[in-house]
Amino acid sequence: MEWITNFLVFALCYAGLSCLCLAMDRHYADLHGRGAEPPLQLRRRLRWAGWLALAFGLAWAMHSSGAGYGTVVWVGSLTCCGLLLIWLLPYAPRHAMLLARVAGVAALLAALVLAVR
Amino acid sequence: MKEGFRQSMAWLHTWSGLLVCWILLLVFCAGTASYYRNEITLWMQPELHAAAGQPVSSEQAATAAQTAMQERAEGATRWFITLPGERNPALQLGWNKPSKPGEKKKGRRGNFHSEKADPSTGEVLSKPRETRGGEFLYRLHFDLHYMSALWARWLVGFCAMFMLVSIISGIVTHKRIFKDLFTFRPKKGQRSWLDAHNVTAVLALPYHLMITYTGLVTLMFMYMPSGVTTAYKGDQDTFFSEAFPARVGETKAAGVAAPLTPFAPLVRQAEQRWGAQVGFVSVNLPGDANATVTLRRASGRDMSSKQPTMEFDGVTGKLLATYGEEMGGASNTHGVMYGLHIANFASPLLRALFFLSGLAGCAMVATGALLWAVKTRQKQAKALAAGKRPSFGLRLVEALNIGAIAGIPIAFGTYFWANRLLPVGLEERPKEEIAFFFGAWAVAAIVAQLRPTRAMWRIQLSVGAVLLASLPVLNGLTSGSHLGAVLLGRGPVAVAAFDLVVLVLGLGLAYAAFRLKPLPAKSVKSAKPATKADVTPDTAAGAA
Amino acid sequence: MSASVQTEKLLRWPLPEALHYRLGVASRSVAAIVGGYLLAALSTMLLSVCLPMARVEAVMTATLASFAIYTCAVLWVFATSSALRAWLGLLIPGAVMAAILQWMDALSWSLA
Repeated sequence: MEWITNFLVFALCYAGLSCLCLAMDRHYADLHGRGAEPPLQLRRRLRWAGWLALAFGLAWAMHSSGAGYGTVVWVGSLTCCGLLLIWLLPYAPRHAMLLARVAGVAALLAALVLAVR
Repeated sequence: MKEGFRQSMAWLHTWSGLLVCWILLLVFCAGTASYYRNEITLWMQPELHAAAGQPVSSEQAATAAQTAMQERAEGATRWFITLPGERNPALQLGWNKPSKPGEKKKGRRGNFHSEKADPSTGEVLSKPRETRGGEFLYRLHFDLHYMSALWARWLVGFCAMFMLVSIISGIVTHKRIFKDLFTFRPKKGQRSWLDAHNVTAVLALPYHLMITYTGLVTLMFMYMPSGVTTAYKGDQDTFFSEAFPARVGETKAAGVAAPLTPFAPLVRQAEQRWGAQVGFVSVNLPGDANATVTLRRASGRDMSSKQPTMEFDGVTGKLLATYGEEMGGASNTHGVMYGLHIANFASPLLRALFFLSGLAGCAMVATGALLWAVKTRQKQAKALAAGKRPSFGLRLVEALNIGAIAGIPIAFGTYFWANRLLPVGLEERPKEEIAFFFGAWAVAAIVAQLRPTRAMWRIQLSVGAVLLASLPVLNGLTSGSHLGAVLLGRGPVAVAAFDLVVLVLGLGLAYAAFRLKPLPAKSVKSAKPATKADVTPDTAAGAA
Repeated sequence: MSASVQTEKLLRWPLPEALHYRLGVASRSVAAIVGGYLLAALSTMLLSVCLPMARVEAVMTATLASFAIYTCAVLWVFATSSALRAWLGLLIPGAVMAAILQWMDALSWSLA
C-alpha cells in the first residue's frame, strides 16, 4: 500500500515541525497566552522529538524511494506540512496542535503497519 | 555597500528582486502550470476526453504505431513515436512531410505532421481542435512569445540570474531565518506582507534555489559557452558528441527499398536490457535499405533526464550501438539537474508537491513586489497626506503589480475560455487562442496603468476569479466530461483535477477581492494588508 | 581601514552626494553584470582546462559551477566598501586568470 508509505513521511514531517514550532517562545505563547515560555525540560523534549521525527521521515523516504528521490519527496513534504502549519497557527493554534498529536499517533500506527507487513 | 554587509545585501535583495519581478512572475506562473502541461492540453481538447482506453504493453503500442505509420506516413524520411506513458495515454506519432517538387518549402513547422493515435489499434484519435494547449504555457516560460526564442532565452536567463542573486542575498540578509520560520501575523499591514514573503520564500527555499539554478543549467551551454570553446578549441561539435552520445551525422538514403523490421522484438530486447520501459522510438529513412531504428528509455523514477538509447539496423533488426549507458560524474550531475528542473521523473504525488512549491514561488514573487509598494507608500505617507502625488516609481510599481499579479490570472482564464469558445475549424486557431491570452493581459495591464487604485485591484481580482472559477461550468457545457461525469467514472481524471484546481484558485482570488473592502475615507496612515496575506499570493498566481 | 578611506578621499570627485551615490551604484551594477560575467567566464575557461578529469567532464563541471561563481562575484561587488574595490576585485583575479590561460595557450575569446 504505497499511500501508507507516503503518508508516514507527511505525518512525521508535520508532527516534527509542530514540535519544533512549539519549542519556540513565540509560538508556545500563541497557545498558552502572551509571555508564557515553555519550561526547559519541555523545550528540550520537544526539540528532540521534533528533530527525531524529521530525521526518521527523511530516513524512511530514502529507504522506500531511493536516496535522491526520497530526499526530494521529504523536502517537498516539509514545504507542504510547513505551509499547512503556518496557515493554521494564527487562525486556529489549538487545531494545529491537535493535528500534530493526531499526526504523531498516525505516524506510529503507520510505522507499525509497515513493520508488520 | 558602505553601510555594512547585511544592509548592502538587503539593498541588493530589494533591487535584484524588484527590477525583474514581473517577468519572473510570468515565468513562475507559466512554469508551474507546465508541470501539468499534458493534462492542460487534454482539457483543451475535449474531443479526446472519451478515449480513455485500456493500457497496452509497449510492444503492442509500437506495433500499432508501425502499422499506422506505414499506412499514413507516405514518403517520410523520419518517424518519431512517443509511446504511451503515465502522463500521456495516447500514442504520439510524428513524421516529416517532404515537400513535393515545385511546392514552396513551408519551413520546419509546416513540414512536420503530428497526430495522436489509439495505442491499441493505431487509429487516429478523433481529430481534436487545433490548440497549443499546455505546450504554449511551457514554451512561454522560457521562449516567451512574439519575439525570437534566442532573445527570449537571454532575457529569461538574465532575469534568472537576478533571481539567483536575490535569493542568496535574501538568505544572507534574513537575520532570524530560523526564529521566524513559522511566523505569520495576519492583519498587521506591512508586517503581514513581510511575513508572507518570508514564509513562502523560506519554506520552499530548497525548491526555489533548485529551480532557479537548474533553470540556468538547462540552457547553460548557451549562457556560458566559454568552457566548451576553450577546452575544445572551438570545436563544439566534438564536445556535444562526447557529452550527449548519439549517432553523429546523417545516413544517406541507399535508394533501395527494403521492408522495415518489426518493432516488437526490438522493444522487447531493449526492455530486457534496461529493465525499464521504452519511451520513444525514432526511425531514420523508413522503407530504405539504410534505415535505422532508435529506441530511447522512458524516464522512470530515475532523476537524470539523460536516458540511454539503442540503435538497431532498420532492415535486419541487429543491434548497432548503445549510447548513454555509462556516464561520468559531471555528466550525470548535469542530467540530474536537468531532470530536477523538468521533473519528468516525478510520481503524481511528487509532481503535486513541485506544483505546490511552484505556487509558493509565485506567491514569493508577488508578496515581494507588494511589500515594496506598501513600504514605499508608507514612507511617502506624510507627503501623500499633505496632498502630493505618489512618486513615479511608486505609481509605476503599483500599476505593474496590478497588471501582473491580477492580470496574469485574467490572461490564463481568457486563454482557457477562448479554447472552448473559438470555433473549431478556425484558421490559425492556436494563434488565435494565444492572441486572446495576450490581448486580455494587455487590456488588464493598460487599464491598471491608467488607474492603479484599490478599486482596480478589486475589479481585476474579481474578473480573474470569475474567469477561472467558472471554467468547470464552461467545461460541463462544452464537453461531455464535467465533474459529475468523472465522479461516475466516465471521463478522464485529469480533466476533473484541472476543473477543481482552477475552481480553488478562482475562489481564492474571489476571497482576496472580497477582503479588499473599500477603505474608510480618513485612513491614510498605514496600508492595511490588501487581503488575507497568505491567500492572495497563493492564488493570485493563477497557475492552472 | 584608514588607507582605504584615504584612497577614497583621493579618488573622490568633487560631486554632490546624491550624484556620487548614483554613479557608485551604476558603476557597481556594470561591474556586477558585465564584470561578474567575464570573471565567471574566465573561471569556467580555466577550470575546463585545469580540472584533473576527462575533458568533457571538466567542461561540464566548470560550466555547471559558473553560475555560482557569477553569483558570488555579484554579491561581492555590492558588499565591498567602494566601487573602486569592486572593480579591482574583479579585474585583478580576471587578469591573473587570463594570463594563466594565455600562458597555457588556451585563451579563446570565441563565444560563438
